[in-house]
Amino acid sequence: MKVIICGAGQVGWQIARHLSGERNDVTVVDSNADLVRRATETLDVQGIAGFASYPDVLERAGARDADMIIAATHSDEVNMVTCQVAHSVFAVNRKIARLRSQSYLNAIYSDLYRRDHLPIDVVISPEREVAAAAMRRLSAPAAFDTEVFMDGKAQLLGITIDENCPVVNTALRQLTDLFSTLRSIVVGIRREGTLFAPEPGDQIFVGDNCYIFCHTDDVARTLEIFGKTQKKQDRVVIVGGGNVGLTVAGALEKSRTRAKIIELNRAIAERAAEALERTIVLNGDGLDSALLNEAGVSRADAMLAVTDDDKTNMLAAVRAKAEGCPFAIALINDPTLVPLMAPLGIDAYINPRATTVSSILRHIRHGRVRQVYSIGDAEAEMIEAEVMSTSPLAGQTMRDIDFPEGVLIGAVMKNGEVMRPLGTLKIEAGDVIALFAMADDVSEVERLLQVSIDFF
Amino acid sequence: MELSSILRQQAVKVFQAASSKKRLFQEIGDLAGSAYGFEPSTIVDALLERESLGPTGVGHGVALPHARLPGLARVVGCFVMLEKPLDFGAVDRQPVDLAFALFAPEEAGVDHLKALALVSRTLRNAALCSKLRANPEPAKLYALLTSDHSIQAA
Repeated sequence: MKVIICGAGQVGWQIARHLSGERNDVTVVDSNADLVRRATETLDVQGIAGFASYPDVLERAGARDADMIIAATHSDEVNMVTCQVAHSVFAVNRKIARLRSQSYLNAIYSDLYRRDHLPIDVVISPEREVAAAAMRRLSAPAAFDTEVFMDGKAQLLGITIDENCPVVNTALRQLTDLFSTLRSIVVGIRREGTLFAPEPGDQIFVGDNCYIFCHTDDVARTLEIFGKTQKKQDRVVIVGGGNVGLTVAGALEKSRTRAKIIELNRAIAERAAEALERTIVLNGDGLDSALLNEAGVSRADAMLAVTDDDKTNMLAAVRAKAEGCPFAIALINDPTLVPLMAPLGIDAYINPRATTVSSILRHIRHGRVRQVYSIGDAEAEMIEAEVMSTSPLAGQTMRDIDFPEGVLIGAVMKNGEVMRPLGTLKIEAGDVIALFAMADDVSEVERLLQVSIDFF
Repeated sequence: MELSSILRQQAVKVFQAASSKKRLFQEIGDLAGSAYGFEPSTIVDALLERESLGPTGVGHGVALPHARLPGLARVVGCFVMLEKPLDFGAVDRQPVDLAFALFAPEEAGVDHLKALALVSRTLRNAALCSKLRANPEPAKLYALLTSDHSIQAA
């Protein structure tokens, strides 16, 4: 697929890295020639220096042949005009724009993004997505990763196995026998840094990071079986009062959690204080232990560091832990910093890339794909798709389907009901299926989801 | 059913090259638009939508893109030949130079599947394909496509 990515900043660069890694034909456009050079030198992409919304720049970037355009510059308005030009002048089929401003994101105005108005098929908002990820992380502190599937009826949980786990050293096959009504399945395990799709005979060991796909109603039971206790967070300290911090604090106010924000920039702190009702905003440095104590970090259940600087976030999290906060989450953009979390004692992290890239991959995969969640550093994907008539899956019984080794079914949804993927289950057109697939097996999964030639 | 009943002579064309699948579909859209009076952009959108569910390259340089169109009375097709083959993401990864596009009404019983089977059978004939490739002129292509079938049927 030919894709043009406008904006070679943090968001655009990560998307370009992921898409070019899958042999898509990617062209990066940015007004800053240095950023374009950085992209073309480190990634397998072409680059054009120029203003993304100018028709002649897009033409040079190959817009006439492009199947998709992703407008991810820092300006909402440039992104909007870029999509309009791509649509009206170059008939680009799929248009994705990054929008940050709350007013543009407001659902009551979403009619604006229709084809005959302002043609944007998908709006991505890294700030909003990060805030959503932060909320999920806060609501499930026992899991290091969570994502919602199947219209909210199923969840993917990432759980680290510790000594308290009752089912450690147990073969997965036995788990199915022991808990025959439990609608959850281990779809991926990361052991000593390597991610793989387990076989029924594999055991779970202490230190494993397990990815578990489970029915929403069985989340609490699953966490219990894997030795985790759910605890509600009542007090949260947030370092960074920008768009992310503000959105999270707003959501926390709704769930009656007490939050305090620390923000260095006076103007931003004032804006946050004005926008929020019950949240206290402190103006000052989040690394200052006196200020952290004033915010009550030692009595807080969790702290969240969401400034725009990775290193500040990590240090603030370490500071909070040292002051007695039991659970610290840091926003980390740069994936190479993530391995430092364990030695620094940071409990969890949020990576904006994973959510943003996931929402774009959905439109790249063949078949009627409803959702894609990228796991780890693009090592695997959780794919949710509708089974189409004439596809190789339709009409087959689970055990007769020839899945590659790196692929496991998380669940099948029939008529809105999420079911366990038993061997006797028959897959029919219209069912929704969730698959875990190692990166190398994604193309084979795509083949299974594709319709055949006689689908008219 | 015969190919002459779904293919008009005006709906056959030879192109130098197309730089991408999207461009090829735009050419097909323009061709079908002038031959049968459709809105080209509707055709392109419908073909791309169908293509995103699964590619229609059937191998040996042949592609059979197809889609349903609202307001169509019967199944119609158009045939495009490219002098320079195009990478199409076909099953056998071979570039495509012969494309037979089919359009069916939204409620088309089984006619559209019969038409697809007919076109697919016709273009599976390797001798016919090499004849087509050796005669890059619309009139000859049309004659070859329609006559070949009547011989087979007789």
